Amino acid sequence: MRISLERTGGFHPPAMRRRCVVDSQSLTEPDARELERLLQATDLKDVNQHRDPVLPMPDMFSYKIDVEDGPEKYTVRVSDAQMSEALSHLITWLKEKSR
Amino acid sequence: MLRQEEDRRLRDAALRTLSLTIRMHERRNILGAIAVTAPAGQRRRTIYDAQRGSQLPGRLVRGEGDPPSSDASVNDAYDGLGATYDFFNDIFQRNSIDDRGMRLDASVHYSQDYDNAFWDGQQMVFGDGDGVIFLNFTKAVDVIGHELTHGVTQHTANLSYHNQSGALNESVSDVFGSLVKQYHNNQDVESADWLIGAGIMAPGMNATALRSMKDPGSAYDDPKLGGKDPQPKQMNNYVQLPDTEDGDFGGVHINSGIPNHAFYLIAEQLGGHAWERAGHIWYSALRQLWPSAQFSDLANITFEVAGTLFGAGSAEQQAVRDAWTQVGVAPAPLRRRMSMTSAKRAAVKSSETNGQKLKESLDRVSLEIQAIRNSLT
Ligand SMILES: [Zn+2]
Repeated sequence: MRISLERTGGFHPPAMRRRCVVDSQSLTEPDARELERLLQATDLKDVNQHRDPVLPMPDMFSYKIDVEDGPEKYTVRVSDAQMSEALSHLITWLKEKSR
Repeated sequence: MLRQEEDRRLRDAALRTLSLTIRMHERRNILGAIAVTAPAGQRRRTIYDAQRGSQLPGRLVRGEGDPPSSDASVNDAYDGLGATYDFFNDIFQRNSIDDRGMRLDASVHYSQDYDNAFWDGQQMVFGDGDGVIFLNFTKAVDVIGHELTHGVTQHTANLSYHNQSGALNESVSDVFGSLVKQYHNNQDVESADWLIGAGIMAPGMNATALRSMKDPGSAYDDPKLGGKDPQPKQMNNYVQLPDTEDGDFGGVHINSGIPNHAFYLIAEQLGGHAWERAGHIWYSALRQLWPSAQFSDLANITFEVAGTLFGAGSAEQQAVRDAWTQVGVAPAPLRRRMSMTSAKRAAVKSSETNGQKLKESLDRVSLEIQAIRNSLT
């Protein structure tokens, strides 16, 4: 599984754009299990169905998460205004692992 | 055809606002805020600790008048909210963000290594920074003033966050954010740094700040910040970007350099304390602007306001004309302004009609929420 995370927006977007990619094949066994757990907690595939439409709110971050899981591909977009605790954990973890 | 399209757009806008409003109602329950008008001059600050999580507001850690906390972020946020309240109250007799004494709430320690601060429509949110690129976002009083000014704009001109009107929204926040800092430190035009975010840059970066009003385009040049500061200071260098999240809604944080620099040039020309004359002209203009206003509208209105406040042909009015001309947005001659005024009237009228319809649906939702709340208690 390949997950790419792209962050846009913020207090000064030109200086704050970040992109990172995590490939589960290059993860250690415990990390791969942790990723699995974080993904299950977020219910990522369903996030877009339950969230509000995107409002341009000043200086907030927006996140675009692309998931490629074998033949299955999907994209999730979420902003700080719609952040759940579980999704926030996943985003923080992805940023850390791709450093 | 047009009619249908407009109805659909109106419905979509109403739905978006409704879902946001429901969220705000839920939050207000947690915060326990009661919609009352507090007397002028009375600060009502509440600081919460999000404890590195993303649930807002978090744990209450310091209320108005409470002694300082052992946590510097809590005290910096408390003081920054106070400095912003005092600035608007002392200089413009504006009683908080909504001019009705609105409580100022802020959450610190939001998420982990979070490189940002924002105003979510009802409260401020601060991250700790990652320590490598950014320090704690509570450290810069101009950043705090910037964010709270988004609230002031929301309650006045309500500038639409896209393209030129969005860049004006950003610029207004930079202008008053910088003035909050200048007033707080009692700086004149010469001693002020005219920088936004100087206090939050981690050491070792090739950056003095995130934006410079005195010299847009010069604030930083560092690969960790995506290269060089891209802000223009002249209309010829306006940066066209798509009106999407990826495009910063048409580069609103980039093109704000143009009106930012116009404000600086006026202040520099007039000297002394920038809030005394340039600040008054801008605040008065902000209360006359409308959601779709463009750069030329601000140029025309500030020129007009300077004439009203300080006299036609005064040094102040001349400074306004010279500054806007220098950045490539010369105020229009009177005849053209007259026709723009009628265009403005039409725009205001149409937004009033839409606003009335929106307000009616919002009132219905409020009643429904109240009914649900009553049935629960
Ligand atoms: Zn802003």
